[in-house]
Amino acid sequence: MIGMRMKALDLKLIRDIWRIKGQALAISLVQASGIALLVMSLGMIASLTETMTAYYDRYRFADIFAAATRAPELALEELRSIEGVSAVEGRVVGGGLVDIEGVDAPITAQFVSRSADATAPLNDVHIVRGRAPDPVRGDEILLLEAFADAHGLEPGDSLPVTVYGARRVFRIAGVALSPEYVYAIAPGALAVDDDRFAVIWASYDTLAPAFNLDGAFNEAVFRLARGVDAARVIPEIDRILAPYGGRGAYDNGDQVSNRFLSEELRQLTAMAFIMTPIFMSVTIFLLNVVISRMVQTEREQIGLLKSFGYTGGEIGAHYAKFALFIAIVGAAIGWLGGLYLGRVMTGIYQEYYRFPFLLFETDLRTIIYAAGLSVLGAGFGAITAVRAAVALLPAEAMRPPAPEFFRNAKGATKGFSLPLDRPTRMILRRIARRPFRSLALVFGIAAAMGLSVMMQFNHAAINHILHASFRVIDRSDMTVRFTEAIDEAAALELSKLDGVTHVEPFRDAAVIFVNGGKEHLGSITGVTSAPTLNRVLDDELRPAPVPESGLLLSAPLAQLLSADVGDEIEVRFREGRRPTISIEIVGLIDVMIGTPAYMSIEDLNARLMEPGRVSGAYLSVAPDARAALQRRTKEIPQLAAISVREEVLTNFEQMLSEGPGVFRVIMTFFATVIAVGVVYNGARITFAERRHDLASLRILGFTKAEAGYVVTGEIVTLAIAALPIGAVIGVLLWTYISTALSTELYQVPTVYDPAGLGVAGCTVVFAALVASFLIQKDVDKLDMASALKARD
Amino acid sequence: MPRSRVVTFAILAALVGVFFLYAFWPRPMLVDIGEITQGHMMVTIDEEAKARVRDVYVVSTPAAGRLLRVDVDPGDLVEEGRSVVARMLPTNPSVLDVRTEEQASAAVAAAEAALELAEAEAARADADLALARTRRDRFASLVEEEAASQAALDQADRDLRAAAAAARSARASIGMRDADLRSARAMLMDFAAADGDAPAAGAQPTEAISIRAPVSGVVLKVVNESEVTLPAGAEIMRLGNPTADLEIVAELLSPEAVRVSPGDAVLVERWGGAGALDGVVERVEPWAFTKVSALGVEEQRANVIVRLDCEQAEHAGLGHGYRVHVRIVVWEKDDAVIAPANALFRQGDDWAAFVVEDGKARARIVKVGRGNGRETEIVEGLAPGDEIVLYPSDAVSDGSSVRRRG
Amino acid sequence: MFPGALLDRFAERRQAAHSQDPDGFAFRASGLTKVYGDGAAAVHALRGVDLEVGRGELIVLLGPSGSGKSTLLNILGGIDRASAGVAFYESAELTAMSDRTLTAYRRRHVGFIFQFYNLMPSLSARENVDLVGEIAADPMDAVEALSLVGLAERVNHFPSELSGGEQQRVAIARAIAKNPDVLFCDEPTGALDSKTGIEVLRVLKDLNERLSTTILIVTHAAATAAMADRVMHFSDGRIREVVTNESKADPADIHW
Repeated sequence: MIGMRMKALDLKLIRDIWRIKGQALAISLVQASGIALLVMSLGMIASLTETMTAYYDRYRFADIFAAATRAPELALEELRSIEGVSAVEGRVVGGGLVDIEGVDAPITAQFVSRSADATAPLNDVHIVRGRAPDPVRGDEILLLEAFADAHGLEPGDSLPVTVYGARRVFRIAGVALSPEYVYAIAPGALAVDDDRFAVIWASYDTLAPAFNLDGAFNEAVFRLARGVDAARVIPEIDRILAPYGGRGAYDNGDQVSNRFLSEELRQLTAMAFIMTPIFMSVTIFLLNVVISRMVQTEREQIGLLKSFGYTGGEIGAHYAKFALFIAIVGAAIGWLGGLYLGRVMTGIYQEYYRFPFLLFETDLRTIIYAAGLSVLGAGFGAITAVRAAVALLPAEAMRPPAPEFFRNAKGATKGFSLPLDRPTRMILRRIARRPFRSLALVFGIAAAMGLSVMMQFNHAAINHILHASFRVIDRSDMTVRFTEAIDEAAALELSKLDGVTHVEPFRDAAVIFVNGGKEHLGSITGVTSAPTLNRVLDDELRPAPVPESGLLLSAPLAQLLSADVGDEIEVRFREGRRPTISIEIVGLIDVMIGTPAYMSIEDLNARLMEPGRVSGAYLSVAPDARAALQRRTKEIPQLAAISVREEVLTNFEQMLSEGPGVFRVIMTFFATVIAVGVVYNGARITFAERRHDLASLRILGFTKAEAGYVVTGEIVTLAIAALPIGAVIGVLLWTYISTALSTELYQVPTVYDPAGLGVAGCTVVFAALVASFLIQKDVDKLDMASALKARD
Repeated sequence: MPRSRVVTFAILAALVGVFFLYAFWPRPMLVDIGEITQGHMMVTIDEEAKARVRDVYVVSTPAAGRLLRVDVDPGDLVEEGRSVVARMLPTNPSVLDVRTEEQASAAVAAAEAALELAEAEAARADADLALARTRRDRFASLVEEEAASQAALDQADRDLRAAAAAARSARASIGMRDADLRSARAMLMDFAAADGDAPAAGAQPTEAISIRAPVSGVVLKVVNESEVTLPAGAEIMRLGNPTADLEIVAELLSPEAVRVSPGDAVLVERWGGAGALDGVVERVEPWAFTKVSALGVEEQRANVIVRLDCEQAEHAGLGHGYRVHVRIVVWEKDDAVIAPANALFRQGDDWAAFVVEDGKARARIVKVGRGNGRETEIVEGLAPGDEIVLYPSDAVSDGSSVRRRG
Repeated sequence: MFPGALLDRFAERRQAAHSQDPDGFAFRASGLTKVYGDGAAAVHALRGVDLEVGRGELIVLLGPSGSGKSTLLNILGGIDRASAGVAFYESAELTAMSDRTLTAYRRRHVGFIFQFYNLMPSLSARENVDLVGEIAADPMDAVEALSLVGLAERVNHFPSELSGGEQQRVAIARAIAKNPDVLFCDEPTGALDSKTGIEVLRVLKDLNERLSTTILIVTHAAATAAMADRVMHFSDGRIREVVTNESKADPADIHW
């Protein structure tokens, strides 16, 4: 034994906790769930953000991108001299096709030039395997790792490509990653498709002549000095590049990869900062309820201690320690669990984003706040319960609760003169006698169920988005895009290809929307007047009529621009002759994915003074002809990209299930743990409170099952009562959250899936049944004599 | 267990049951529903086409000369034989320089000299002829006196005949030289005329030749508008009659051209006016040529000529080379049972569709006829008025509960 | 049974306290009333009780169950409150004390022994005694207290490992370990067999005699009354009569 002996009260504390270790563990796990979720999500977000920032810093991700048609190298000098610019590079970028044996569809490639002699190049690459291309050998290139892995390409392999119409064979010197292509999405695509989009870095000397840009560049990338606002520098850049066909510079917030990455992080942050507080609140509430009930079962012991002369403060401290112990254990488990899960999640994201390294960060302050809150919650629950018990006179406290005072209060119990057997009446009277206590437990179960409901609705919402986007809005079989906007005869030609049964052309125009001080980089889609293959639908999936003249804007886009129906906004086109036109907004629609803007294709073409142009088409293709058609399209020079709806759907599903999907699965798991924990605790507490009654019943001659029914019946009744309340709580939570979770990339629809209620309800009912089963076993083991005598 | 407890359990179970039933009750899937109709359906071959005037008349220069500035503009109406569409001057004083004028003067001098020479020659020839006659007459009288030989007389005859020939020749030469002189003088006279002098005496005044429209119609295109010297046969303008003489030419891919026959009905759309024009396939040219399509692919195409089968006033405004869109009807039926093509799907080797009966989707095998991409003819299996599921997804199966979306 | 030196010290202290107010009563009560509930279901546990208890007296309260004797004990012991009337301990008015003062009163002056032992099941015998000792001003060592009740060999056993009599003795050890001025015993022998009961009573008698501890014992076993100084007979919420014993019997002689 340690020299200094522990005080008896503390010994009691330790042994009591050990005695109820199952229950204590269940409560701790409930709390740990909330904290683990918080730690995990905050850690994950902090890690990803830190990694992303460090990645961008170490590899000098550009701050501003500016495209031009053809700018001479001399222009770089002028650009360099802009105030605020700390570095600028000119490079050649362009599209092309990659020819992979065995792949039927055209594979888009993005070529990016690198100058071999730059010591600290912007948008630097990280070479994963192989080596940098030898500047002497003009056919050596670096290939994006994701693409190389998808096709099993290694350094040393050759890669036949088509650049600007000419066929060439390159040699892969190395496989690389770049901060510019964390998300490698082909232009116009919705999701990452590793095996259909390649990024190829080649030397300037190889690419410039290939794209007819000798001594010139068509994209300038900039790094700004610290604290410099991009908005000040961009107009200068535009001015300098205007004579060279400058298409409007933009900051890296609009760069595709960064934008997707930022949006996803934003959504994770939203999920974390919105959902975890909800989880935490529920767990704190539950802690409060559960611990307060547990302390209430100690009523007689409290009275006894008081009769010995222990002050209210001393007794309160004892039970506070009890609550604190459980809470701290829960917090510790939660913290460790959260750290571990955070690492696992970050690892999953890393595989998906392909960062070259990973930094782990923990947001200590928030976690300490959270742990502190939950500990306080537990302590508060204990203290309030103790105060209630301590306020009683010891004699009252020690008085056995049966027979409790049952009055025919206001006819409340009159209803129970129904033909019910006595044990059932006992259950119902007990519930009615202490309505608040029962209500608290019901509410606790309902809150936990609400969490499950919320997660189920979330899952259903994601499915709804996918279903709506790929089965209702997009009904095409394939979408093709041309290399540039060409005559509509091309669309007609497509209809003559074998297997194509219907063609619906469209025209996309890359634009910058400007309304007052607000700007947004986006695109306008010109559609035919009554589209069937890819329709313009609102968020209730009703067809929205495309106006003959004017813009039909999606509500999220209108919000970004602070514009409304009737406003005329400035549209700066970034292609063709790059005119700036004022167009009136004639309608708004709510959409689910993205921030689209629609016009009639005739109107769009007319305003651009380019009648009869199309930039792509939606096709419906006979099922047996699809493969042959894909092969055929490889040979059509004007086709830049084709996407098959089924494949895009699969990619999108995969994208949503990785990363955010795993996060959701973990949250659903925690919601289940919480629900089960609450039900189990409620059952145990009820059992503890009723031990005396149970013993009496058994002595009277009731069988084990019948005696057990008194407790299990109460639990099951409360659980069933919790079902509709849990459903309502879940619906309310989801209504609030679905709006908060929406990002620029997709709006989370506020749809309620009844099956989700069922699943969550099953969890609760299942938990209640399991708890009843366990409690029944304890009833069986009940030592009647000691239960009658002993007061705990 | 007492009966009241059984009842209690039953009630509780019922309540729970209601909750879960509500939750898990299979809700009808939302689908888009269409209807089988009966009516007119056609399968067409669509292509971009151009309108063209069938007979384009080329007005060209009848002779080398100077075309005066053309006053008519494309679109002007012309009347056969009456409207003057162009005027030209037949000669060609296009090179008005000093050297040529000098050469012309020299030519005149040379011609004059040549004429003088010819006249002198003629005078000499006459003198020789007179002498030859005199000699022959003397020899003839001498032969009578037997003072000279017959041979000498023959010789004298021969000389006389030679001299006569020479005299005729000299005379002809004069004529020729005279003509040369006149021609040289004429050329010189034109210079004088061009310089604004009064025409030299004896020179002919030049008048513009009016070229009249060979046919009634409109001027389609003016090739040479400005005043210019042209050789004979050079194109000045093209005339035609777009109102009365218009046809449509479509360049069809050769496999499509095979399916088209003369007499097929044609709808001419997107011609710029209201509605579609009616046309008829007049002929399908058997000669295919290579053409690079808008997609950049080389293809074999053949011309299909379509005759407009409507009143002239209906297609007023349509001109030569104007772009239109033709839909050649290769199959049509007036009472076809029509299903939306997107409702049909493959089931093994057959086609099938989901018929909506009492809120449930029932798969039904159908036999199909022709299809035009949007509509498919149903030969067997569905009747007009049947409701079918459009764009059935994998989620729909036989017996699924469905409900109309919207 | 009791080691002399230890108890001598306690006895001295008590006598010193008593000498300050030699004529004072330990308890005085006047018109004590206690009613539970209200209206038709009201239970009148005490209906105006007057009494006086002298220091060092051993009082036995007799009566059938429901007669109010336990209620009186609880009120005097400070674990319940009267509905009406006044009660004094020494010169302090119990009925006017706040909760905190009552707690202090119990802490310093009172020891309780209940019928159903009320031991903490998760603590050993020794720890149960320590529980009370740790809040006492000058407590007895737990092992000593337990040896006083004859449980020196069972100090580390848990209540579930002790017989009923042993458990009650632990409760006694717990009560006396802090050397209370007053010891309240509510049916101390009610759950025990006769032999154990006698032992318990002997301990109580010893305490009363050696330490001048004022002891109030509630019981419905009439034979116990023989060892008291005075016997108060309760019925129906009132003291029906108070009987003074001429001579106090030895517990061994009590037969029930």
